[in-house]
Amino acid sequence: MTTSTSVAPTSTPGLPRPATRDPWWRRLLGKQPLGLGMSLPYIVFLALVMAYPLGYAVYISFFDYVFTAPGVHADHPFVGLANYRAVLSDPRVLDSFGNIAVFLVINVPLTVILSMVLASALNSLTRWTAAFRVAFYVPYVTASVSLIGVWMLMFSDDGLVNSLLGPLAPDPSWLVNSHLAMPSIALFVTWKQLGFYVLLYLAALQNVPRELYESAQVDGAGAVQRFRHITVPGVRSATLLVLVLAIITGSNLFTEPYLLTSGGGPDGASASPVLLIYQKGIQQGNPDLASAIGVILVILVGLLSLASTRLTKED
Amino acid sequence: MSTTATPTTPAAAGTPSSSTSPGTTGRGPRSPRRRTGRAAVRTNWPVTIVLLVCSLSVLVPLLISINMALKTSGQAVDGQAFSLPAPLTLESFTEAWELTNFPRALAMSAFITAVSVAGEIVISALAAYAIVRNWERRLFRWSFFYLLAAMFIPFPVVALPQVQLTGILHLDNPLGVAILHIVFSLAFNTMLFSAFMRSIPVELEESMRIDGASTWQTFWRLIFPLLAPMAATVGIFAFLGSWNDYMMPSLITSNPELQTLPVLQQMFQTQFSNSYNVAFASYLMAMAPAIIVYLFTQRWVISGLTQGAVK
Repeated sequence: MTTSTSVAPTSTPGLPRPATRDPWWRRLLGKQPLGLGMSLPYIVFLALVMAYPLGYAVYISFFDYVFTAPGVHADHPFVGLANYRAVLSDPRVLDSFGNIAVFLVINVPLTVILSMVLASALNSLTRWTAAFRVAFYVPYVTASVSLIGVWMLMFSDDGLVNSLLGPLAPDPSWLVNSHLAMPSIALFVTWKQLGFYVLLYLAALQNVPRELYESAQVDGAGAVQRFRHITVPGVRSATLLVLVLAIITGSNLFTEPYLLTSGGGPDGASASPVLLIYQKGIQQGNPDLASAIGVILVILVGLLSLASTRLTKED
Repeated sequence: MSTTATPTTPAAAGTPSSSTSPGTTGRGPRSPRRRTGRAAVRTNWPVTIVLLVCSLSVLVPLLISINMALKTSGQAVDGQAFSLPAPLTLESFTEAWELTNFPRALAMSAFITAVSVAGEIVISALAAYAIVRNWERRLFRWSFFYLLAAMFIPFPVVALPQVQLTGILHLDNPLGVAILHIVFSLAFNTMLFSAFMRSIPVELEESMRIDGASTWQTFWRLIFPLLAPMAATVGIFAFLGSWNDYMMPSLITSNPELQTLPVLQQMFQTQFSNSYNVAFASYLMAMAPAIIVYLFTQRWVISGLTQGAVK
């Protein structure tokens, strides 16, 4: 692949170079050529199952493409950026990116804050921690499909939430209300994934020295101050991981709008880009348009993750 | 060899390996706290109450599901979610069992999950070993970033070529789904494994090399056993990931007879949307295995994560 062709004999500064130069294949493969054999299944695997389809997806996004039955030939004329133009001028596509922005704005901060607070609360408890932990993990270890069934019942027109709210219940109800559908999905995903992120933070908190809290307490720092000045900086690496993971999984939202709001309803108000990829590519047979959406999505996700990496590094 | 089986790094020392003793299930990483005297005895009531309220958001839906599953079809649609089932019946469980063909769906899910878990552990451990031990070689460093990049590529984007590819290769079946599960979680797993691998001293391997062991032998007899804590973590995530996945099996598997448990749950959200009791009985049966497995394995997850991902 690209790596093997671009190995130039330039030495990277700061790296220990052997005094006597080995033959090129030894420099390339290391002292243990078997090592390459060990990572080879992985690399070939990824090449076949990830790199090839990704390249293929990028490729068909530049062509007027239809899937055909094996053996049947069809013309795939090159159309340049026409697919991208079509996609970017489709209000449904633009709305779906807007929807995902709404989703991320609700989901990501809520996930980071809630899981950090809950994890440090769990960490400071001495009793019943096992029970609480299990309670938070249950949604995470359960398939979305089942949980969605429960939420559909709870948030339906005459469901539990509305009967608790009484006159405050929104009309039309949560999942069929074009303003509330996407926030409801964001809440659902936050709730479902919280256990995993609490877990990450709990693990990170094990590496924060306990003496810091004790000496801060001696110096008269309150619980909030200790949280702000010890916990938050102490788990920064975990925060970065949580941010990136939440952005990636959030941008790839599919199952929830597909099932919870039965295909991005009401009237596309909760459609996500991935849902459109599915609808356009598989249900309507427009893989070229679907791929164009996919390429745009990957670029945006990459930029967002990069931005969040920068953000957490600087502060 | 067994004495070397716990590579505790300074950072991980706060996670006592005593957590493996029975009876402290799920509390392992926190046990040193109890030694700090006074503070350990006092219960922090405000925090406990906040956590209690938060956990209600999970417990209430769970109780509603169990409650609903025990009702008769007639009582399930009367609109009173909180009313206790009267008469108590298990008929919805038997009905759900038959509707989803539970044993077959369970076997499909179990097969996909088993293949994914085994494949993910072995392949990403091999890759992480090769990469970490050859870190000074450019090719290996690059391949690590190449692998990590895969984490940013979502399945849906490559789904279309994927569906076509699995069709051509006759992998539009549970085996194909398992292979895809392995590939799509490799990036995260290799990240976990290689972070952990860096804490294993090279000297251990060198002594084994001197005794004449090959790389292959070194890996299987020395490194792989040492990786056990991280393998447990990776295995649990692999289990949850493939057991609960909805999108991949529903797109890839072409024969509905070979469909997994989560995908089959969807039938209750369309066709039988009125028989809540059967639907909830089915949901409970589908989620039970994952919850049970997780309860028994969760204590390894935190210790593994502490030593791997979030260092």
